[in-house]
Amino acid sequence: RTPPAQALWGMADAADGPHEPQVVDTADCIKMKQVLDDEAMETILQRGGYEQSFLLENVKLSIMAVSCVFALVAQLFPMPFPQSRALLAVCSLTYFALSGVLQFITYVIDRDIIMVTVPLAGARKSEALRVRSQLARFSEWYHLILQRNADGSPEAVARMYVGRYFTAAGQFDSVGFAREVEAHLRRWESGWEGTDERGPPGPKKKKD
Amino acid sequence: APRSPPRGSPGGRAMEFVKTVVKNQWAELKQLWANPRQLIFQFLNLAMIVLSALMIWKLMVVVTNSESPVVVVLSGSMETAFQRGDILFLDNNAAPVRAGEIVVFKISGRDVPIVHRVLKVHEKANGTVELLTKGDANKVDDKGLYAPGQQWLRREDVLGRARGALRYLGMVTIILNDYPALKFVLIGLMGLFVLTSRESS
Repeated sequence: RTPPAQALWGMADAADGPHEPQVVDTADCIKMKQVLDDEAMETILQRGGYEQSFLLENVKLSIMAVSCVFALVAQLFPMPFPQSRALLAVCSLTYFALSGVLQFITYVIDRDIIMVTVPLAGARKSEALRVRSQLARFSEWYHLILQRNADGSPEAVARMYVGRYFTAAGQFDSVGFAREVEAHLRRWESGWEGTDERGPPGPKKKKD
Repeated sequence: APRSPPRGSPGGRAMEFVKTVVKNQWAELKQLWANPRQLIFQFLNLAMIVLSALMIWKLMVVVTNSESPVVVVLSGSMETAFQRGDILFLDNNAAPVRAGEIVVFKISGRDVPIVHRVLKVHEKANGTVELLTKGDANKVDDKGLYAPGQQWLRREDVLGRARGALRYLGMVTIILNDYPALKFVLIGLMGLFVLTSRESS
């Protein structure tokens, strides 16, 4: 029986209780980033006491829904072709325009942002927390970036070596990762900025 | 332990691979179901991918003014110009049809479009146009193909003039039409993988 990931890295204690680790295919970069992003977001929301802002996501979902409506009208409107040419032209051009807006939002505004929080009572939108992450394809370093929700505001970057949180078999040490995310969050909240590295773990301690 | 083929056999390995993929997809779908916001997003994502393909077609319909801007050659009656399986791009804008042009037309009452060359064009004083067509590889003209009692094609029967071609790429369409079950299998698989994969956005 393989021991749970925490015991291997010595990062969890008995108080955390038994925990079946999630298994991820380590060759699947997109899935790994998704798992790390989800755990980071959950940690920041729960342990940091923040609330997630769904504003941009709702805007994107609305644009998608509206463009689907235009597309469905073009596909299903019961007018035979030569007469419906004008209607089809309007619907398809609107559809592609909305699609373009959506691509703009995704690639220019959203970029690598994984979450934005709701600003605390009385604070401006630009004072909310913006969480960004990067995991380049086939890279072993996950970057977790915390900053205020304003472009150019100081960043607290954590460069995290994925081997600290995944065993070779792909078991994910969510507890250990959450702990380091929380430490990074506290550091940022106290005003720290810059880049910090969490490299490969040192030689394994002998189990006693 | 349940009996299974020996580990080394290709059949055994293929079965295990399929089982792993099915298990992973099922786990992904369950996870998606638990998170409604993510589910809606992935569903709209899939809808937009499908609708984008359909809308590109509609845009081509608008631009070429043709009901069917892209057709596949189904018979060998236009050899050696076009073979069965070639894709043709059509244009149905206002310019008059001239003898010698290759047109795609539908005979009223039949679904299947036919690709042949225009042999004769009669333009009457009141503007009506009558056309006679013939396949290059056929020995006789198309009078026998038209609807009973019909001697000439009208301009409205023509879907468009062939303006460009891609050799042989239409064979995929022909295969999917001969074995319709393949269509559902293909689309089902693609839909499943889009629903359960998460891109970096």
